[in-house]
Formats: sequence, structure tokens, C-alpha cells
Amino acid sequence: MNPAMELELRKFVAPEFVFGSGARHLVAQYAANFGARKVLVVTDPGVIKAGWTKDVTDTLESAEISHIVFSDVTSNPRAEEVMAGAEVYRQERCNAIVAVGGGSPIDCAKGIGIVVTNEKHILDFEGVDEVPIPAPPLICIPTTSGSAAEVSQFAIITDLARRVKIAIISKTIVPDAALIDPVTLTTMPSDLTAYTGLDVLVHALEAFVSNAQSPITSMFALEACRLVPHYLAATIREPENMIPRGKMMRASLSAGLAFSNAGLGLAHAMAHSLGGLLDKPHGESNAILMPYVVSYNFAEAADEYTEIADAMGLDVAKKSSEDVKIILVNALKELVQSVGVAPKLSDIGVKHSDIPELARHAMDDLDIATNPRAPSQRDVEVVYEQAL
Amino acid sequence: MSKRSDAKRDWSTLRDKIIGLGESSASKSYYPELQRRLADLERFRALLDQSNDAILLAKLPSGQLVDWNESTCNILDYTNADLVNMTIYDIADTSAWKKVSELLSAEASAAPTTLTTSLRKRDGSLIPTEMTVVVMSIDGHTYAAAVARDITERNKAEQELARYRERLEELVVDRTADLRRANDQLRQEIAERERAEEALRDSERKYRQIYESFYDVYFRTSVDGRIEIVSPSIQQHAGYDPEWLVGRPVTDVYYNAKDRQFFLDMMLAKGEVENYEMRLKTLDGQPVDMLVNARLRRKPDGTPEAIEGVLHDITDRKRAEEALRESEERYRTLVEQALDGIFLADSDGRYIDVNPSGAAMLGYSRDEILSMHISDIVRPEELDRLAVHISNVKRGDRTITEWDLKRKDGSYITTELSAVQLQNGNIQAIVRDITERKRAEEELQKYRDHLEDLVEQRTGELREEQEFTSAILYTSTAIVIVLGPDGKIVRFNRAAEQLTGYSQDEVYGRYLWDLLAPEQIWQVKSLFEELTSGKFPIQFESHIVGKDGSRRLIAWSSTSLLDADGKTKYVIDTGIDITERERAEENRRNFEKQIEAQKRQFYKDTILSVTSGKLDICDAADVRPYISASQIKEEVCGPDDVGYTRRQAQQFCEEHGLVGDRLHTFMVGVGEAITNAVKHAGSGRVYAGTIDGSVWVGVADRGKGIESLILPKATLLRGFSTKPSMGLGYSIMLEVSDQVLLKTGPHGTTVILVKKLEEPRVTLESLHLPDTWMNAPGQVSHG
Repeated sequence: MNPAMELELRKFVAPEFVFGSGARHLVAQYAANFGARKVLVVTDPGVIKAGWTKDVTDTLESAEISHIVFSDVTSNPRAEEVMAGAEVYRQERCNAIVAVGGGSPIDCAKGIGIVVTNEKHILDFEGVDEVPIPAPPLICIPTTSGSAAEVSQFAIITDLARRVKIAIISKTIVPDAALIDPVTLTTMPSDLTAYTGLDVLVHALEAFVSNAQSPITSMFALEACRLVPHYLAATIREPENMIPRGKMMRASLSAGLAFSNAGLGLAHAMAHSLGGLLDKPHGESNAILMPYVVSYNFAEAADEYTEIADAMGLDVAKKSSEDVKIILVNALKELVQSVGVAPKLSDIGVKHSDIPELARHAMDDLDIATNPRAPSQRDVEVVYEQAL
Repeated sequence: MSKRSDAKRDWSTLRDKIIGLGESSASKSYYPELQRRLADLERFRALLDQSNDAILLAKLPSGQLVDWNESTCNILDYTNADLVNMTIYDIADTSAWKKVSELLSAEASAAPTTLTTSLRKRDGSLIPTEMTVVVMSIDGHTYAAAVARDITERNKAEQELARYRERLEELVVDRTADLRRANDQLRQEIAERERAEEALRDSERKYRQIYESFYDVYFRTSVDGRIEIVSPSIQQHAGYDPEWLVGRPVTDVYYNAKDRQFFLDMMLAKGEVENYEMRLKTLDGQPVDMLVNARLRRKPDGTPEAIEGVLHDITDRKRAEEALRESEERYRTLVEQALDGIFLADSDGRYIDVNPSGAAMLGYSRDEILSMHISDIVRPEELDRLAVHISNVKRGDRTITEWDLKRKDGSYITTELSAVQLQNGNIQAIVRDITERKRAEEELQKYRDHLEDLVEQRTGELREEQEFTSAILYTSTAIVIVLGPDGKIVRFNRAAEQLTGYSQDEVYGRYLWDLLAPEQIWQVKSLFEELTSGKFPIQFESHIVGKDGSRRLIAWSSTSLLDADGKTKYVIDTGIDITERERAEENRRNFEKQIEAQKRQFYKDTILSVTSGKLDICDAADVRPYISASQIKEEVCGPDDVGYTRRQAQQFCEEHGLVGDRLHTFMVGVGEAITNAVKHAGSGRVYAGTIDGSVWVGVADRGKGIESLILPKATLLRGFSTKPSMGLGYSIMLEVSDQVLLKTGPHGTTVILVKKLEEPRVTLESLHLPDTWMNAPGQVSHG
């Protein structure tokens, strides 16, 4: 890194978090400390079925903190769901929020929080720093190791009317506390484990090469790059083995701290477009796109990508940059396929005719601002075409 | 959307915001919000303290006071410290408060209750208050909030007011008695005044009678014609001053002086006259008619002495009679001259009058009409209707009705009739001949009917024309698709149906591009936009996808049809299926490619054997390993760069062990290759590297390549060039290199010259070189 750049001003924002087995049981203590009288528990049907929601509400009940469960949340949470949750919060006169689940319930909970304090529509907050008043106390208990929404300043909400995913980026939606408990990962199905695990790697990669990165964010990003290739396959092989699950949870946290502060890049912009337009799962879209985005960006951040390749355990010593590029791209493709994710967008039903619209939406996505290379719309179309 | 587009334009600002050093970019900035709300609360608290009312909050059911404002302390004369340990029961009037708390413990009643009660001060004295109490639940506890207003002053004021009211009532009673007395007195005075007024009115009546009796003029004239006495009222009727008249000849006041003698003779003969009309003249010479009652007065001896009598002015009556006559005259003229016929019949229906227009209308004389009855001129079949109508008119119905009336010559005229019964029972009818109007109306109707025929005829013609156009569309072998201005299909001819397998009903309302290959949709949409924005006609080709999914290539010719405002009304796409033509074209191209490949293989084999494996006409795949392993890469942009790049290549070869004559002769070939690229393609790129104990130099250009047919000549014939100044060409390169790889094609030519570092051992094969090589300078000796 350029030594002068190390001295540029950078901020690092993270919530208070507790990491480790049993962290989820601290929820009542944290809620009481935040003065919670009535808690809105935001979750989804899958998490309820796995039993984690009841685990949390039981803990609240034992501390005599009353609560109401809101679970009308789909994957890729929608603006209407956020507004419905806010209505429940107001009607039930809640004063704190606990989110239990993956990225979708947590993003939905963030949205509900700012809607109730600011009394505006969720879509009014689109953009960076568009939230004037902070949300009520928010405690997050993640049950996937991927989104890292429990530590990030991002919330991604789907606007069904425009068929786009909007990004809300604001320091005011960083949760107040994250209770990160790897035990909750043991009920994740294998496909979700694969998607979220690859999402972690994409977070780390994009944060590391972001044009807003800093030495602190890079430290966390590299840590995630080290962990994912070694432990992802193991979590799928032995879903109940806590050692690899713990490593992946830590990887998710590290990548989350990195990207929350450094921003993301082209792969996320393009994946958001796929999610908004065609409702494709976020992790899967990201995983398929990543090798092609690396290939496109490589020349602009060859040194950083070499460091990543090294951290991932690839032999890149004394290799020309062209070779490193080939090695890294191939390794990413292999990793994607090794955990059973389809290699091409056409495999998940994307059609050639979708590309112009997808590219136009991706160009409007906020994440593109921190990509190391500023693409033209045609560039984005070409990357989609290559990944098709 | 604007926000999003702006964002795209300014990625660097967005990046700065994500880094987040701006002041609005703080995590959970609770403090400003908290402080703002605290300030709100403090303001509210200050407001409460400033209130004159005591405001307090008590916990239920204990009644423990938990909060109160400053006024509470002031009113009750307690300090804050005192109140901390007190309950509401300590300060409120116990009985009243108990009632309230019972009321409130019913819990559901959250509505505020207002009561009048007392609060107890520190010294035990009671303060009357009006208290509003509301029960509320905060954090699971029940509280009573009370607002108490000190009403001591108000009570005092009310008592004062009550005292005033009592005093006022006493005053009113006194005053009423005074007034009653004054009233009685007044009533007596009024009665007296009324009597006096009655007396006055009597005398006035009398006076008026006297005055009125003098309205007529009393006069006396002497027999010889002098005015002796005249009453003052003469002035009123004729303007003369009565005193001035006395003694003047009476003929002065006659309109015709001769009348005097006649009047005198009559008086002398008769002795008196009654209601005799006489015309006098006024002072200003106008006639004035008088009625005279007079008698002859005689002397005791019987000789006539004077005439005395009374004149009564009848000018006004005369004038009224005149006016009446004139009015009758006018009415008569009106009736006589009216264009409408006016008939008058008695209540039995016999005609008693008719005006000239009425008589003329029917062709009768007036006298003839007067001998007729209403029923005589009505159609016999309408007699019943006539009877009904007459009875309606008698009841006051004034409806205008239409009747056919019979003329004297037997023909009928159509009339419009309005009838009314007069006060004397006669019936008057005003009749208008509307025969002409009727005829005009019928004429108009006939014309209207004709117009409708015309419209029908024209519609038929149009339909025929439309059917003709449809028939052309239907039988055309070309595809014709007509689109509305929104791009939706509105016409789809038979050829289009046959080609796509869709019926026209299936495609109506769909977009043209719904039928096209998906990858061409964007292009066709933008062409459609051009068409509708005025650029036409446009020719283009696109694939149409049939109902069964088959694709056909269509050559389209499209144009716009504009409406009167110049806006696109229709877009007409005419297309011809060129799939077969295109397929044939494709086959031909493939065939040519095959031939070309065979040719190349043939030449490659031939040349390889002729040059003993030295010249390899090869593919891109054979050349690629060299280029990707290249250790230098120099651009040649024109003739000026030839020298430099040649030196770079030479330096490379030298560094890697090629020396002496072998180096120099090799460089001649390299120079030739670089020059070739510049001359042939304008520019090129020079590579160099090592391979298996050899050095190699490669030159790539993007020229048009060497055609197969001249490949042998170009490569093997010394001095052959497609351009006159080409120089020695490939033969030189072959001579000075140990191997030459040549890849050529329409996208450029790459030649790679390989030179072993050590001189190769001469083998038998090298003795079989073609003759053309024998005379080449720098030729490696084979001996």
C-alpha cells in the first residue's frame, strides 16, 4: 500500500458484540440495559422452524420483558414488509427491536427502526447518510454466517414497484449490540451454508480492493480470506461440527467489519440488480459473478489481488501478474463449484435478453462507487455476458 | 429516479460519504436527540410551574404524592420537602376525594372528572377549589393527575355579584311603582287630547263641505250682459281673477260670443235651464266645458233683471269620453288590420264578429261568417275534439292547438289557434294560417331524408374501398403488419399468419417485438422510436419467431403513416421472408471457407515439403506459444520505427548468444519482415524470444494477409511482391533463418523467424533445396 494513503483519515464503526457459544442467551440482559419495555422480535418462518426464535423469546420471558413476534419477512425483504413491521411496532407500543435470523430479518429490523423514529417511508432513506434520527435500540442475533448485517451500516431493501434493491447506508443503522453465537449455524441447510459462505468471501474480496479501504478494514478482510477456503467445505461436510462453524462465523464477522467500513464493489452491485429484477438469491448471484468481476478489476488492483490469493493459500510466489490472475480466477471458480453452486448465470435462469436491464440497474447501485475500477454500462454488460 | 442518476454521476462523492467523515455520519447520535427532548420536557415543566393552578400527580391506591408544581406549594403553603411524605388525602377534602377515588377506581373511566372541593393548607384552613382529575396508567402503575384551581376569589366575586343582584331587584321594584303612576297620568292626558282632536276633525269636516260646495261656480249676470257676481272658484276652472271679472261683459268668457244671445233668448223664453252644456274659454283662450243650472230673476214688476246660476266644470268628463272613444278606435283598427284572423263567437258557438283577415282566410265575407257556427268550418271527424276543446277553453285552458279549417271553396287550411272565453261569456279565437310553415317543414324533412340516403350511399362506397384494401392485404405474399403509434399490432395479413402460425386475433394488441427474436428486441424498439419520430422509411432485417418457435429471417421495409397533425398514426411493416436466401448464402460462405482451408492445407503441405520443413504455413495455435512467451514487445508504427525495432531485436539476439555473420545475415531477414509489415499493413509489432537453443524474432501485423492463390509465389519466388517495392520478400527470410513460421489470414499476418545459435549440421535434406535458393546472397553454404 502507498505509505501516504495509510495516513489518510478513515473511520471504523462497529457495534458492541459478543462472540461465542451461548452469546444468544445474553439477549434479556442487553434488552434490560437498553431500557426495553416491549420488544419487537423480527424473524422469519425458517428461523422459527429451526427453534431459534423461541430460544430468544423464552429468554426474554424469563426476564419478564414482554415482546411481540413479527415474522412476515421473505428472503430479499420488501419495502411493504418493513412498513407492515413498523405498523406492528407502533400499535404494540414497542420501544426496542431484537432481530433473530439471517440478513433478511436483520435488514428488515433496521428498516423498521428508522421508519418508526423518523416517521417516513422506508424508500425515502435510499442512499448514503439519508437517515436523520437513529433507530430505537436494536439487538441482532445472526443465524447465518454470511450477511454480517448484525455489524454493518448497510440495509438492502427490495422495491417491488421498480424491481430494484435499494441500499440504505448509514451509521445510524449500525445495531447497538450483536450477539454472535456459532451454535445457531448448526441448523443451516447445506445450500444456504454454501451461499452465505461464498458471500463472506465476496465481502472480504470486495472490501479489500475497495477504493475506500483502510489498513484496519484490510486486516479484517484478509482474515476472512484466510478462513473461508479452509473451512467452508468442512461446514458442509460436517454441519454440526462446531469447530468449522465457529471459524466461518468469525470469517463472516471479520468480512462484515471490513465491508461495513470500506464499502463493496461491482459484484454486489450486479448481484443486487439480479435480486431486484429476478429475485435471485443474493449469495448465489455473488458467488457466480465474483470470478468474472475479479478478472475485470484485476489490472486496477493487481497487488491487492495477489495478497488475497496468497492469503487464500494459493501459490503465487514469483508469478507474473497475468499468472496470478489466472490462478485466482480459477481457484474462485473451483471453490464455487466445489460447494455445489452452479457455475453460470444461465444455470440459474438468467437470459441474454435480461442483460441490458440488469446492467442499467447495477450502474445505479451505490456499491459501484467503491469498486476499484469505474465501469461503463457496456463493461457491466460484458461481465454479465461472460458469467452467463 | 433522479437521485439515482445523480448518484451515478458522482461516485467519488458517494465514496467519501461511505468513508463517512461528514458530521451527519455519526453512529447512533442519540445525544442531540436526547437533549432536544429533555429541553422540550424542561420547557413543559416550566410551563407547569408558571401555571396558577396546582397540578399534582398521586400514586393510586395509596394516594402518595409523586409530583407537583410550584403553585401547589404556594397555594398550600407547604415546602417540597413537606409534600414528599404526604398523600392526596392529607391535603384534599376527605369526603369529596373519597367519592372521586371510588368513581375513578372503576378504572375504565379514563375521561377527566371535574368537581368542586377544598384543599387543606398547612394551617388547617380550607381553600375552595375546582379540581379536574384523570386516572392514567404509566409503566403498569396507576396514577391520578389533578389540576386544582383556587376559586376563593371567584367565590367572593360571585357573592358580591349576588348582593348586587338583590339590591338591583329592590331598585327595580321601586322604579316600577314610580313608572306605573306616571303611566296612569299620561293615559288621562292622552284621553283628553283625543277628545280635543275629535272636535278639531269635526270642524275641519264642516269646513271642507263648505269649501267643496264652492267647487262649482256661482254667477249672476245682468240681462244686458255684465257680470255682476262670480264666486272665487272661477279662478280654479278658468284662471280669471273674480274681482277683475266683475263689471266686464259676459261675452269675454264665452268661447263663441254668439252663444250668449242664444242662451239669453232661451232664458228669457223658459225662465230656467237645467244641465245645459256651455263652452267658455279660460284666461289663456282654451275651451272649458260647463254644465249650467240657471234661472231668470225678475224685478217685482216682472221685468227680467238678471240671470243667476251655478256652473259645473265637465271638461275632465269630456276628455275621458274622448279617450275612451279613441281607445275603442285603436282596438278596432288593430283587430281590423291584424294578419291573424280574429273570430268572436257567443257561448253557443255562433259567430258574432270576425276581422277582415279572418274572413279572407276562409274566403267568406264578414256577413256570411256571421251566419255560421264554429262547427261549420271544422272537419266533420274533428267535431268531438272541438266539443272537448270548447269545454276546455271555458274552463280557462289557453293551450295553442292546431286545426284544419274549411274554406268556402271546400279546401282546408292548417291553422294554429288560441282561444279564450271573455268575461261576457263570448269566445274569442285568434287564428294563424300555418299552411306555408307546414309545407316548409315537410320540405325540410324530405331534404333530411335525402341527406341520409346520400350518407348511406357514401358509407357503402367507403366499405367497398376498405374491402378492396383488405383483399389486397389478404392476398399479398409479402408480410404486412400494421402497428399503432404505441407499437401494438392492429393489422396482420394472411401471409403473416401463414408464416408465424398465429391468427390475427392472437396477435392483435400485442407488440411487434413480442414476435421477434429476444436478442433483437432492443434494436427493433429503437428503430420503432426512429420511425415514430419521423425517420422513415427504414429497412432492416430481423428474425421472427413463429408460434412453434421456428425462426425466419425477414427483410423489413417500414414506414410511418401520419395524421393531419403530423403525428404517427400507423407504422406499416412490410416484410419478405429471406430465410432460404440467407441459408443459401451461408452454405456458399461455408463452402468457400472449406475450399480455402483445403487450399491452405495443400499449400502448407506442398510448401513444407518443398522447403524441407523450413517454411511452415501454420495456424494461430502454432504461433501463440511463441508470442505468449515473448521477452520483448516493440511497436512499429511506421517506417521511422523500422531501424529502432530492428536494433532492439538484434540486441536481444546478441545477448542470447547469436553472433557474427549468423547474427548479421539473420538481421537482414528480420529487417525484411519488419519492412514487410510496415509496407503491407502500415504498422506492426515485433516479438523476440528463445526456444530450444534457438533465438526467434516474430513480426505481427494487422494487414489483409496473403491470399492462398499467391501464397507459393509470395513465399518461394525470390523478389515477388504484391507491391512493386516489396523487396526480396520471404525468400530472403527463408534463406537466413533455420525455420520460418507463417500465419496469415484476413486479420493479419505473423511471421516468426527462428535461428539456431549453433550452425546446423548439414544433412542430406539440405542438399535438396530448390533451385531458386542457389543464387541468394548470404545463403548458408551446403558444402
